[in-house]
Amino acid sequence: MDPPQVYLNNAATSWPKPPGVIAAVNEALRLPFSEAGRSAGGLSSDCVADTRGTVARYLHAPDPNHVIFCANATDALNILIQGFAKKEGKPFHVITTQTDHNSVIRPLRTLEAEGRCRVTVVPCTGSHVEPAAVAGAIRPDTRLAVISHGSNVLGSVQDIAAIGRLLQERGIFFIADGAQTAGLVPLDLRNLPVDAFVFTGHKYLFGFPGTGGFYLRDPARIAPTRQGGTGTDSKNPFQPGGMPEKFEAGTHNYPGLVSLAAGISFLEQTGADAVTRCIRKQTAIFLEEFLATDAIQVYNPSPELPVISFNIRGLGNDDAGFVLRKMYGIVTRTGLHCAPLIHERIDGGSGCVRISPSVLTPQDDCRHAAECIREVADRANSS
Amino acid sequence: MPRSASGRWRTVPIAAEQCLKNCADGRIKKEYLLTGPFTQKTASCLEPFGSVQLLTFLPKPLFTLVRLPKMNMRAVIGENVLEVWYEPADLPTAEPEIYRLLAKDVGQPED
Repeated sequence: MDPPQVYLNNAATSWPKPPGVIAAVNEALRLPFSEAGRSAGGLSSDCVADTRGTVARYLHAPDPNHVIFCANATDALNILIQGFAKKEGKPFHVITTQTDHNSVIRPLRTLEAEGRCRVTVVPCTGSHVEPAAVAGAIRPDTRLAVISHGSNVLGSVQDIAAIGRLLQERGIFFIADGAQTAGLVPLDLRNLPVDAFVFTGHKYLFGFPGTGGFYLRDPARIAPTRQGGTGTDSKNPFQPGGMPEKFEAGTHNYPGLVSLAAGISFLEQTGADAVTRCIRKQTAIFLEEFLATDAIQVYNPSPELPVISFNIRGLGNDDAGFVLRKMYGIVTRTGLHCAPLIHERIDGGSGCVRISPSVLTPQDDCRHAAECIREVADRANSS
Repeated sequence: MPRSASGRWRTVPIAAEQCLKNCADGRIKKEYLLTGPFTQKTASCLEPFGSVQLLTFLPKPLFTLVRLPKMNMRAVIGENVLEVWYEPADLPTAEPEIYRLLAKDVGQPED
């Protein structure tokens, strides 16, 4: 398959990966993997421990052993949500928002259908969830809030510091879903008032699919939902309670974790300021074209993330995505982006086209793609 | 490839089909690789199936078809890919119908 001319679907999975990521994985695959507890081989390199340290350093997580690896953000959210409900033991009230993804909505609605929780969805104002709206949704039995840090449709970033403070004051466990923000928004988990922060490796951290995890401040608040080999305490018939073993069962995705560490190294070398400048420039390039015509309806004209969702008037999003792919070689994503609640508000639930460059998308490609999309829109509205 | 009513394999101008995941409203997206280019004649063969439009304002003409309530399809004229979005409940009856109509494009008998 030929590479796309312009790949604008990084909010789903980033491409290309930095050359250093591919080189690191190639190098790692040349040698046997070693992980403490699972190999009698030399431990000059333990890719799991090394990557745990890298993630902790990057997110400023106070304790590397509280960084838990799993398959992706959805997996992490399931472990946390199910584990919280198991630990809680009795039905409780939970808050989420209109911008949240099915990785949050579906586990919560499933718990609700089982009679284990009641869900309140907080609407957003414009593109943001107001902390006051979250405060207004709190009830005496509210025990949990699961809130998307960055919207994968609107590209907005929620003020999880303000939201976290008000939740913390009321003793409500707060899970922030950072699937869209890790790698784009500077994070300092030493000071951020969240109880758990979820990340995925395959988006803006530039790792491979199949990597992700969460940081958990107080492991006592979550019951483990999986049991199995940990490479430690093997005579114990139950899951060990120490960290990170409490939440990690089975052999890790070693090549994936190597890619994740290399992706983070790339970001550290690039620098957070350079990433921010780049994505601001990229979104400006697209918005300059899109906002100059009535033929394109943009759903958030001031995104904080490099995510722009739109529809072309007179052309369905299915058709628009098809035309851009087949006639211009531009890869977008169309439909509901696994976030149906926000689409109900912005486009009546019919979906839209989303573009999402990364720091590795050349600005010339962004300019070319923006002009092509504008051309399609203008042609569709001039006939 | 579907069998005809007589039980014989029917020759249709579809070389391969692929069911694709999508993040839409529960519809099933399938892509058909045709044995030849999708032409205006191919488009006319599909006319009985729904409301056809030929979007000529694009760099290449685009065929679209909408069949209410939610089924649609599209192809670039001159290329050999047809994309179809099905309602899951319609797939068992709609897909053989598409095969049958496309058979007309290469002059195959319709059973």
